[in-house]
Amino acid sequence: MGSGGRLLPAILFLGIQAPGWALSDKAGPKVEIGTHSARILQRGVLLKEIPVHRSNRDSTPPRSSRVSRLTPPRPVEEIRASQGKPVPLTSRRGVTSMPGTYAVELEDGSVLFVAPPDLIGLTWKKRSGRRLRLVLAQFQALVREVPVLQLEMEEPAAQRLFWVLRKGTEIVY
Amino acid sequence: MGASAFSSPDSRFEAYGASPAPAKRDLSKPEENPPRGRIILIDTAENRLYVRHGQRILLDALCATGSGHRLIAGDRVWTFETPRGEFEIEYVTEFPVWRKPDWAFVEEGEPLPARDGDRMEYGVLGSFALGIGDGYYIHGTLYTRLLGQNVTHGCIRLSEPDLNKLVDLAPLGTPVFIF
Repeated sequence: MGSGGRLLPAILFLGIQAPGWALSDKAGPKVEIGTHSARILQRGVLLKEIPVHRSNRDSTPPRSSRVSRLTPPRPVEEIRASQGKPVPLTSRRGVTSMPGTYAVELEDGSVLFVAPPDLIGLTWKKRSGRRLRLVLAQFQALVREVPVLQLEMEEPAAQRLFWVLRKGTEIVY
Repeated sequence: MGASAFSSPDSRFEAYGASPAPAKRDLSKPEENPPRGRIILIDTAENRLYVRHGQRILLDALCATGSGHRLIAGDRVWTFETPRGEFEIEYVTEFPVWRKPDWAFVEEGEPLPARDGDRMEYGVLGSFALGIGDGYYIHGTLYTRLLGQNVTHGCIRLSEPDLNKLVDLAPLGTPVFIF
């Protein structure tokens, strides 16, 4: 470690109370939605670029707002501990557990719809559930007369975008 | 290195012999000026850690990050999430000893120990732990087969060879971007 020399052992009090969500409010990454990609940036550094299949984004100057709500919300697995029994941590939550079809409401009232280019290959039940969710969200947006941005993204790309979105994430679109 | 005690701002961390931290920037305020020099990027979706200098990638390592699980025991709740945003390497300790917190006993279905000494675990965190603040670390692991997965309690785990490379590549104050 540089000029620090060898260091003595230290006792680490790690994760005494992981504040997790509270820490997410630190200046987190922002998302720039372009015609062909969603760019994840932090302090001007491009962290990741996620391909967008197609969007209805026009050539108007970009606007900025923050995420106020995700539909469906981010999945969280709750585990209840019981005395004397180890907690089963069998499930693995990862990016593939995130939805591929969702709506993102922004603080300025705009709504961003993300869905795969086609829903072919999914089971009838999944396909209809996703379509229904999207149609309902689009209907609500129509009734409220809010600006709507539609993004067609392959499911893995959509899941990767969902992964970085939190309440308060800045979106430039 | 003497035995001077170092406390983090939230006083939840105490390390003896930790490297002195450089002057801290206020990381809660976004800045658009990109950092110069080396940066550490941690992609929690892909579970990869990179050390980058400009466009050059100096290290591309498989890591493990937070599971996102919420553990509930009575009225106590722990969320095992790796925090996102901008951090920096605040201190580095060699041969870290883990003082097991309450959630570790709850998770194992064991009663909380009466003696503090019964909380100590030696050799489970690898050769180094790099503190990024708020009780979160980049450290080693015994469970290398779980690298590449979202399985931790919030810290970032690396294999021993990659941890050693990281310590060599990332001096104190190196920015850490977690996303």
